[in-house]
Amino acid sequence: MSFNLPNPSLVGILLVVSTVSGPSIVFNYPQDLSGQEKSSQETHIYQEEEENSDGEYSDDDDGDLVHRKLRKQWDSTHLNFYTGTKGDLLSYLDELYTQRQSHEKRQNTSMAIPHDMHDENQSKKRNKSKTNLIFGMETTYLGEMLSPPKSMCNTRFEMQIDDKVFLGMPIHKLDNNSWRRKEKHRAPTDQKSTLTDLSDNRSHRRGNSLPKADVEVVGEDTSIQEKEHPTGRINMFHLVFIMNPPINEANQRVDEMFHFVISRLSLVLRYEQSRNGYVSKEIKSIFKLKETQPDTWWEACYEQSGLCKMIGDCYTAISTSQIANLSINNKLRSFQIPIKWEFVSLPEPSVPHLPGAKLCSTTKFLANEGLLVLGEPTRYGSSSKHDRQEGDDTGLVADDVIYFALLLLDDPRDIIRELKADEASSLAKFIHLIKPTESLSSLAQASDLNMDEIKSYAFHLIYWRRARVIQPISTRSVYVLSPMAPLSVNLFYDIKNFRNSFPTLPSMSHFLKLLSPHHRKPSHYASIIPSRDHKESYFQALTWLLKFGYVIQLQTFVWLKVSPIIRMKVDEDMEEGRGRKTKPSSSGDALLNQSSDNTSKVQPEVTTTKQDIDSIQEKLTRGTKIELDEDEDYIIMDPGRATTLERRWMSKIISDEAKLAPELVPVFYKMVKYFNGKSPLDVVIHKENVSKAELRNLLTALEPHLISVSHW
Amino acid sequence: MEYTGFIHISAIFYAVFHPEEGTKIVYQVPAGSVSTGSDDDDEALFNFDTVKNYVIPKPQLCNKLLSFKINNYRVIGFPVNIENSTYARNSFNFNFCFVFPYDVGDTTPYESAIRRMGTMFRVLEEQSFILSKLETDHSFYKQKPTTMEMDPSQLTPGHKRTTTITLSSIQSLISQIFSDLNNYSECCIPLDSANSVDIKLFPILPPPVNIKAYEVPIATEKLGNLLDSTSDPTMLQIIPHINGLNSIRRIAELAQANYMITKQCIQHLMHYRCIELIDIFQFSNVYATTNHISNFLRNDGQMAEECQAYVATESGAESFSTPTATPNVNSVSPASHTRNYFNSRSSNPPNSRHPVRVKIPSKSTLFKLYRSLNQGMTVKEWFLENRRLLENVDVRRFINFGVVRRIIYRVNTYPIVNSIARAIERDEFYEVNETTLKKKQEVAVAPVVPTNRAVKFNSAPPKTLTEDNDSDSVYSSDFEEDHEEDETEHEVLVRKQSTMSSVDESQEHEYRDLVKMLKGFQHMDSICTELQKSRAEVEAMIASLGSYNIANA
Repeated sequence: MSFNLPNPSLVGILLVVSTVSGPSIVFNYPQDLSGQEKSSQETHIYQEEEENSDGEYSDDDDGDLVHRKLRKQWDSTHLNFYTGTKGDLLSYLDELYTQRQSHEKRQNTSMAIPHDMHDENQSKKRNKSKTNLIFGMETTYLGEMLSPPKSMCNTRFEMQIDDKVFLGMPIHKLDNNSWRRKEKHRAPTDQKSTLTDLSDNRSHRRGNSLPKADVEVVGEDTSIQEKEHPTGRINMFHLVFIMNPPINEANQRVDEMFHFVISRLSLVLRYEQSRNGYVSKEIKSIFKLKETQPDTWWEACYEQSGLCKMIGDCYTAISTSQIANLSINNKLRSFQIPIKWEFVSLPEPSVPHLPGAKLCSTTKFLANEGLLVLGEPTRYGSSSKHDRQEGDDTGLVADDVIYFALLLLDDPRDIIRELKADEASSLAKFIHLIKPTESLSSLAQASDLNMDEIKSYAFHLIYWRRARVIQPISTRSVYVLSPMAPLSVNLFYDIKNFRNSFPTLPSMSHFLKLLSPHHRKPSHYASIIPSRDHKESYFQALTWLLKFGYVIQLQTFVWLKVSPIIRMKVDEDMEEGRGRKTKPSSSGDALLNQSSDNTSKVQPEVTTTKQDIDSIQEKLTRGTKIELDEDEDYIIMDPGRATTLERRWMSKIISDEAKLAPELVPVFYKMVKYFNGKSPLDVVIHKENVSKAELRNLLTALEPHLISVSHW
Repeated sequence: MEYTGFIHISAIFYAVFHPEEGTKIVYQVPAGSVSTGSDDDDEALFNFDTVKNYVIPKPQLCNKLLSFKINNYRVIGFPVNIENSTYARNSFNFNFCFVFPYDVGDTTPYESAIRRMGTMFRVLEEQSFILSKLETDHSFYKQKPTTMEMDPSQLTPGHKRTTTITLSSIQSLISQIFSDLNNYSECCIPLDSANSVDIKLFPILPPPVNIKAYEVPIATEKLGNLLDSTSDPTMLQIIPHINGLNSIRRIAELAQANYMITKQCIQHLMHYRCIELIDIFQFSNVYATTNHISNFLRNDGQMAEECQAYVATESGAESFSTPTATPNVNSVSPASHTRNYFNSRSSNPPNSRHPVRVKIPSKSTLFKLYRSLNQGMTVKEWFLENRRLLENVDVRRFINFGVVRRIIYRVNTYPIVNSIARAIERDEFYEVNETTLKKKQEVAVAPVVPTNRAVKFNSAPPKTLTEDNDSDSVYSSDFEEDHEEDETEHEVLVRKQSTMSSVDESQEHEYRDLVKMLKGFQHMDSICTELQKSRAEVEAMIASLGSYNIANA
């Protein structure tokens, strides 16, 4: 399935209220929800496309129309790009070529702007006649259906009519006329003051937006305030999101919309309503505008009502998979459906993903903070068995983020500006400090920021998609091209971007070549830096390549292996020590029985061809003798939870076999629990306060007893 | 995630709009699952009064699939509204509603069945009042006795033989649907001689992805068993060629089938999970470990055991001792190479009567072999390095096993022609084509040519020389000017051109395709498959277009 691609499937938002005079839809966004144009199953990911598709109807130029359709079809972030029978490669490339060319022309001539405005006006005119129909249903009746009986309120509401899902959380006034239940046990009053000052208190803002955090921030119950606003007496308000998810993903798309956006947003509105009747006030002003300007009420509402503006902003951001930074009652809150852009394992080739996604098996510890979407969908389900097996931790927890570095995905100044942070604020200071070569803990040492602040800022930047966690870039690390590198998709644009960013460096294709080892093992980054003077600029280039998903870091993971000789020696020792004990059965025993059966050759799940069967028959007639190579090394899978016997083997190794120097023994015991093939040693040494030199010495001393693998 | 079966139905109810009593449930199974009274029954899933506006909505929402959430249940129905003046209120409304637990499973397999069932009863009701006449007091009609006479089924020719409709009880119908669907995921309940409620649930699978010509299907089922004489002819043609060696392009070629149809067939097979896709096996390939590599050791080495059983062969090295199958990929194309390799294996004559010793490599040996694969090493290099350990290992099976189990991945090779990259940097991308690339190359590689000509022109009329100052005009003079003086030169040129056109008519075409693919940054496998050439040939072709960088990703 294509859960790796964002697909908000959002087609519109309605605001329904129920007052004494009955239920009604007071505001809708977008203005035209008649469903005449966007009845197609396709949802668009980029707003730009949305605008274009609006234009399609009034557009007479056929050639242009074709190009627009093509652009939609060949958009790599769009599901259609990956599905269906798309012709053969050459015709695909031809079309891609014309599409790029026409896109470029369009950009150069910039003819599109007046054209689109024209369309917009036209579509507005068209809308006028149809405003009382929403997807073919009468607005008033739909309003009734979306104002459910009280027993269906204050919980998830979902109604599906054919392929349109109406999803929301109707907020109904409680019996005692209040909007929220009293919550006595948690009411620190200072919480309330922090809420009003969000631009400085980032941690709170994050609290409201992170999946883990509870949106229900507490204040004193202000139930009686309703009396202060007698004019806007509403019984229920309901923000309804209209979605048209693809049929085989409907459950997941609807769930994530409800979980990440609707429930949180509705609860925030309820909070504001219970505090000072925010929703009632807004609705009152909307009604007033509708009375005074019956023709242009929609535009007037959108311009004058904060609530309507918020609904519009929410739609624009969420339907394009962006982060919605919404101003609700003059407070900034952010909502988003997280996108899948970090992978722990390589996705199946038949499962599409966003180009330029990152691949790293060690950052999964961040998932506990809700900062990463971890589920790795396979073609037929949401998570494969192997993934779950490997869900075992890497020995890292979210606090260990301080041993990692941050990779900013934008220019620091742009980030600060977009976050509307003050240049003098500590967040801005922190952003300027960030270097991909320095871990967060060393940043803390170099500045006056404390660790908690740094951690919290780091999580914010990750949540806001401004930064990624990486291991500090170093010349001693090994980098190779990522198997997910978007070469066929993005290279065309990135070659030029790279040149513009680094006019004095060799070309991007040269860097790609340098990072593709040929006839040798992948080696340290230092080996491709020509001289000390180049180090800085080569680091910048590497950062750039990491940022756009071209490069991954290869990490080394190790296990301890125990040779048969050591096992035998330990056995002998034990016999000497306390008499006879049964010899541990060789793990090969079971195999021997199985494999001496010749037919085991035919059983594998990959179908055998006729030739195979022939050759096996041949063997059978010749009387092949099958033996099992029993010279097995034993690999200790999880030294942190080693059995007694495994412990004996380990002590045998360090005392007699490897003859560890006395100063390395404590280091060994600190590190041994990470010899599990899952923990990145370069990171955990910081956690355990082990120096790089000590680790190197330890690994060298243990070399014959280690088995290592390297992957991302 | 394996498919775990269909979500179970919690309840089914049949509701109508009664002319006097309003919306009400007529029958439900299991009895009492939906409480209808005002008193709240704790056993009930939900109270009907809360949702009755959603069960029988206004006509504008009727005849659509309509579902809603109530408490922890999802109710899916297809409300039907029929207008007819014989009905008491000029219309008749009914809905068969299915209740499912919310948040537990996927109800999509049921949705089309519910829609179909609603439509069918709508038609039957329109034709023969099958539902409304079941009410014994005929409360749905204006004039009670006349309705039966109007029953159109009476007018159907031959109605006596087909007998009248026998649907006697909706109660028994819905309870049978309920038990059959929950127990067998299908039901087949005759209503009369012509109509029946037939439902079979099917899982909804994701749409097939766009597969590529260079991908190699490898069967996970015995494909031959899936076929019969009614199967698609192309499918019948291509299935014998699916052997984990042939790329999709090659399968089409071997089966003499259209490539696009072959591709669709493969997509179908993939859709039903009969195949997996792997890459073309060649000794020039590069593989590296993934983060799943540790799965090889887990679960008491279960995967390792399967691997031992799969990869062991009497002598892995034996197959390469024959000269035709040496891992010398430079001279053999991917497809033909693997073919030779395979043939040599199978056609190996039984050369000795002595029992052959097969020493199955140990699990740790196999693990060592897998983890020694890395981004900078071709299979050939790896093979030579580990020759001793590979004694009894079938290399192709070894690699395929790793790829299918996702413990290793294929590192693809992308050629990036420098002049194309430079053209992008300089915004000249759209001017680049095979002729400009070649021309540049000729100038760069053979600077001798212009100098030669210049020398020649020394003997030409001095007029040209004095007038022409730059090298460009040397060319122009070459084409436009004199025919007598410089005939030999001209002839050579013409001959050169004609050979270019006659011999390389198709080559010209190939170059155009090649440049197209290079500009689209395709990897080597893709290019080789598309041009149906070996990697060495393609490399030579690319080199003739100018210097290029290799990116292994």
